[in-house]
Amino acid sequence: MKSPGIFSLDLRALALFRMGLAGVFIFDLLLRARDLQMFYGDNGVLSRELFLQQTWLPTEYQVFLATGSLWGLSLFFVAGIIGGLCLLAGFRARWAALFCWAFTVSLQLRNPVIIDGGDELLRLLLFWCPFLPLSARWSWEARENPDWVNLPNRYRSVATVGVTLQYALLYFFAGLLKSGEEWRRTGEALYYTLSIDQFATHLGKWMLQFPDMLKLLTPLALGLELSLGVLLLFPPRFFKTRMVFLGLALLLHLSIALLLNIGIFMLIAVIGLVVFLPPALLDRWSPSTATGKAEDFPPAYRLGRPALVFGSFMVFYILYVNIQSIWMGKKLSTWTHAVARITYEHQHWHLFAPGPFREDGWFVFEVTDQDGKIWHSLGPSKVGLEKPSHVASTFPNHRWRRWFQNLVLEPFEDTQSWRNSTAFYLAKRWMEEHPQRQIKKYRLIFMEEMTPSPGSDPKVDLKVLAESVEK
Amino acid sequence: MTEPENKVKNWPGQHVLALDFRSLAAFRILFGAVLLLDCLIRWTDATAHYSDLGLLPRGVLLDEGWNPSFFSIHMANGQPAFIHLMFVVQVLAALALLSGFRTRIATFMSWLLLVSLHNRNPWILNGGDVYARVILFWMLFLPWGQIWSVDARRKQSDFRWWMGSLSEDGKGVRSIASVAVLLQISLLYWFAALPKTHPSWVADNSAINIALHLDYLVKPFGIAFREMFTDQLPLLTWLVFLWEFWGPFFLWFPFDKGQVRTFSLILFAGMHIGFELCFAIGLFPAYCLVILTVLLPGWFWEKLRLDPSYDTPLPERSKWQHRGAQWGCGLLVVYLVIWNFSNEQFRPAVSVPDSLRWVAFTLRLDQRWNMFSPSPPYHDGWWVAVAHRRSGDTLNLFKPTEPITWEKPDNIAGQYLTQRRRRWWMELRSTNNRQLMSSTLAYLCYKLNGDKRSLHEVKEVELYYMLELTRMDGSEMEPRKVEVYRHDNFPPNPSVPVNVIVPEEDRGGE
Repeated sequence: MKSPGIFSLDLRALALFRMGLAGVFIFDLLLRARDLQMFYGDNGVLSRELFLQQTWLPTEYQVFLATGSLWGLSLFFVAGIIGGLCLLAGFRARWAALFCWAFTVSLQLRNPVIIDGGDELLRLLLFWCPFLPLSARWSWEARENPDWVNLPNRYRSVATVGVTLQYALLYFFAGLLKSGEEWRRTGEALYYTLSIDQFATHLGKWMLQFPDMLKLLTPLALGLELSLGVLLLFPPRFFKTRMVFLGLALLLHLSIALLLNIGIFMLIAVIGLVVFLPPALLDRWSPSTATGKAEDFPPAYRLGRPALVFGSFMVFYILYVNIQSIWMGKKLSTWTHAVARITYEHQHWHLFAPGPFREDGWFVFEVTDQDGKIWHSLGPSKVGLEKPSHVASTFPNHRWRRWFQNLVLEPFEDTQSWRNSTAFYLAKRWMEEHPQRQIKKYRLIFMEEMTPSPGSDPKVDLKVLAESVEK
Repeated sequence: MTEPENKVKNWPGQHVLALDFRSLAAFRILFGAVLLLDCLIRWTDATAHYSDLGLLPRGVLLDEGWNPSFFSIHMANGQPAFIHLMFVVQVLAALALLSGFRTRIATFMSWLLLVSLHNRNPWILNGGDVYARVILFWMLFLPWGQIWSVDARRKQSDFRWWMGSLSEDGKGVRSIASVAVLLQISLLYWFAALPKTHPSWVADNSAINIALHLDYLVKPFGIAFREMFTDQLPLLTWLVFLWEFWGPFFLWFPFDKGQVRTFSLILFAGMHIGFELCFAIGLFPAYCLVILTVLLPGWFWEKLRLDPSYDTPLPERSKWQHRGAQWGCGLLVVYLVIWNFSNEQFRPAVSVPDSLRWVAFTLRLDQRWNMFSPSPPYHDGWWVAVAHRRSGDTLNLFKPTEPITWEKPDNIAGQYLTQRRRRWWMELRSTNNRQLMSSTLAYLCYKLNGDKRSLHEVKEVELYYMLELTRMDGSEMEPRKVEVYRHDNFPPNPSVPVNVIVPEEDRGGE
C-alpha cells in the first residue's frame, strides 16, 4: 500500500472533526450565554454606545450591533445554535459551516477583549470548513446520497493543506516565539507561568514547590511544542509519526489544562486534532467501504478554480503572517492587515511569549452601603481585600478573567472608560443581589502583586481602577 | 387542504372578512412599486440619514430615539458603503416582491429591512412609514403572491399553512390576518379622527385653512387652492373630519356584494389625492392610496372581468397548525386595538401593560395616528444657520455660496432636498434636542468641503429658527428670530478613525 501524503485527510476523520467542531461551537455559545447581557448587551460592560466611542475597535462583521437587548441577543444565539446543529448533523454542511464561521467572527469582534487563543483557533479552523467535504460520512447528506459510501476515504485539497499547516504553525510558532530568556536560558519560565495566580490551578500551585523540576521541564515543554510542529509535517513512517504526534499533542494539552485554568482552549485544540486520525486507525472501527476513485467526488467537493486560487493564497497568507510575527510581533503590515479585515485569518501565537507576564494580582469590588457597612465581592464570589486562597477561582469563568486582566494590562486606548463601565455594571449587579440596601459608594480595586523572582517575597499594591462619583 | 366547517355559508357579506386574491396581488404589485420608489428616494440621501458620517451617527442614535427593544441590521456598520450595500439588497427584495418572485422570502426580507431602516433613523419617519410597515407585517400572513406573480408561473403556491382558509367563493383568503388588515386600515382613520378635538376641527372648522398656511408643508397648488376656495374650506374640513370617522364603517358594510365598499374606497382615495396635491408629505398619500387596493371586493374585479384562477396546489396542514397560527394572529389583533386606545390622549381605562410594550416595539407595530391633531400647528417657519470661520468671516451653512439672509424664502417646502430631510428639521424643532442639533451642525460643517478637516475650519455655529405664528383666522404674523442653538468651540470631539483592527490583547495568556 502506498503511504498516504501528509496533507491527505480521511473522510471519516473529517466527519468526526465536523461533529467535534460543531459541538464545541455550540458548547462555547452556551458558555457565553451565561454572560449574554454582560459582555454583549447595552446594560453590560461594553454597551454599544461605549463600543462606538472606541474608534479603534473593528467595524467589520458587527452584526451584533443590531441589538443590545436580552431578547435580541438571545435570538441571535438561538440562530447560532441552530446553525451549529445543522453542522453537527451534516445538514447543508457547507452553508452551515460558512454560517458558523461568520457567526464566530461576528461574535468575537463584538467583544474582542474576552477572546483567547482557543477562540482564535476555533475561528481559524472553522474558516477552512466550507472548503472541506465534512459531510461525506456519517451525516444527513450522506444518507441522502447513498452512493457516497463508495467514495475513497483519502481526500486532499488545498483546504486539507490549510488545516494541517494551521496546526503545525500553531505548535511550531508557539515554540519559536517563546524567545525570552526565561524560556531559552534560565529555565524559569514554568515557575513564572505557574506563579500567575489568575491562571494557576491547585495542582499548578502545588508544583511550585519543586523549582528544580520546573527548571528541567521548561526546555522539555519548549522542545515538545517545536517538535509537534515538525512531526505533523514529517512524511516517513506516516502511521507511527501521526500516532506519536497525536499522543504528544494530547499530553501537552492535558498537562496545560491540569496546571492552568485557561477555559476551553484544551477542548478546542484536542477536538480539532481528531482530523489527523490516520486511516489505518479508523479502519479498525469502521472498515473502509470505498471502491470509487477520487474523480467520483460530487461536484460540490471538487474545488473550483476560484476556490483553489483563494485557498492557495490563504495557505500562503497564514504561513506569511506567522513568519512575519517573528519580527513584527502583533502588528501587521499593510496588505496582511487588509486581508485580515476580511478573513480574520491573521494569527500570532504569543502564548506566554516571549516570556510569561509578571503583573499578577486579584480584583475586589468594594461597596459601602447606606449604613457604612463595607462589602467585598467580585461577581457572585465573595472575596476580601486579603489575598484569596485561590485567585483563579474568584472569576466566575474564563471570560471574566480575560476581561478583568485586560482592564489592568492596558492594551487599548481609553481603558479608564472600560473600567468605569465595569464598576458600574458590578454596582448594578450588587443592587440586584441586595435589594434592601443602597450603595453609598463603590470602588473597583486591583490588588497588584508582581511575581517575584524565585526565592523573594511578593509585595502587594492596592490600585483603585474605578470609583463612584461623589454626589 | 381541510376546510373548517362553514358556519357562515349563506351570510351575505362574505367579502367583508375575506381578501380577494386579485386585490392581494394588485396590492402586492403596487405596494412593491411604492416600496421600491421609497427605497430609491431614501438611497439618494443614504449617507446623510443612515451612516456615521451623516446627521445621526450610531452613537447619537443610541442616546436619542433608540428603544431598547428595537433591532436594526443597519447598526452593524457606520460606513456609507455598507449602507449602500443594504440598499442594494432592499431594492432587490422590493423588486422580487413586485414581480412575485419567491414572494414569502421577499416579503420577510422587505419587512425586516424596512423595520431595520426605520429604526436606524426614527427621526425622518412620518405616518405613512408607520402605516406601511404595519400593513407589511400582516402580509407575512397573507398569500399575496398567489396569482399574477412569477411564483404562480413557476407553479409554486404562496399559500402557506399559517394563512387561514379559502373564502367561501374560493377566490380569496379568510383568516384572522385578513380581518386584521381591514381592522388596521379602519383603526388608522378612526384614531386619526378621534384625537382631533380642537375647536379648529369640531367648532369653527378652520383646520384645513390653518394647515394650508404651514409654509414648510404646503405646495404651490395648496396655496392656490387656499386662495381660490377660502369660503369652502370650513365645509371641506367638516367633511374630512366626518369621513375619517364614519368612512371606515362603510368598509364593513355586509349587505351587498361590495359596491358600498368600492364606493367608500374611491372616496378615501379622493381624500388622499387631495392631500398629495396640497401638501409635501412625501410618500404618505402614496402608501395610503396603495394600501386601499387590498380591500377591493371581488365584485370590482368581476366588473373588470379579471379572473382569479390559479393552478398551484394548496398546502397540507393539520388542524393544530391552523388553530395555532390563527390564535397567534388573534392575540396580536387584540393587542393592537388596546394599543391604539392606550395612546395618552384618551387617558384610557384599558391600556397595554408595561411588561408587554416590548412586543410592539420589537415588531414595530407601535402606532399613533395623530396627524394634525388635536389641531394643525399654529406656527411654522424656516431655519437659518450661521457659521463663523476661524479666518473671521461668516457663512450661510445651508447655502455656502450665498450670503446670509433673514428674508422668507419663496417656497419653504420646496427648498429641502427630500421630504425626509424636511421631516428631520421639523423633528429638530419639536424635540429641541441639543445633541441632535450638534450632530446636525457637525454634518453641515463636514459637508462644506466633504471632508472631516473642514470641521476645524469652523469655530462657532449658530442656529436660528424664524418663527412665524398663524392667527386663529389663518392670517400670519411677522416672523420672529429665535436663537435655537449656539455652539462655541466647534467641533464637538472630532473623532478620527484609527486604523486598528483587533486590539493587541494577547499579553501572554493562552
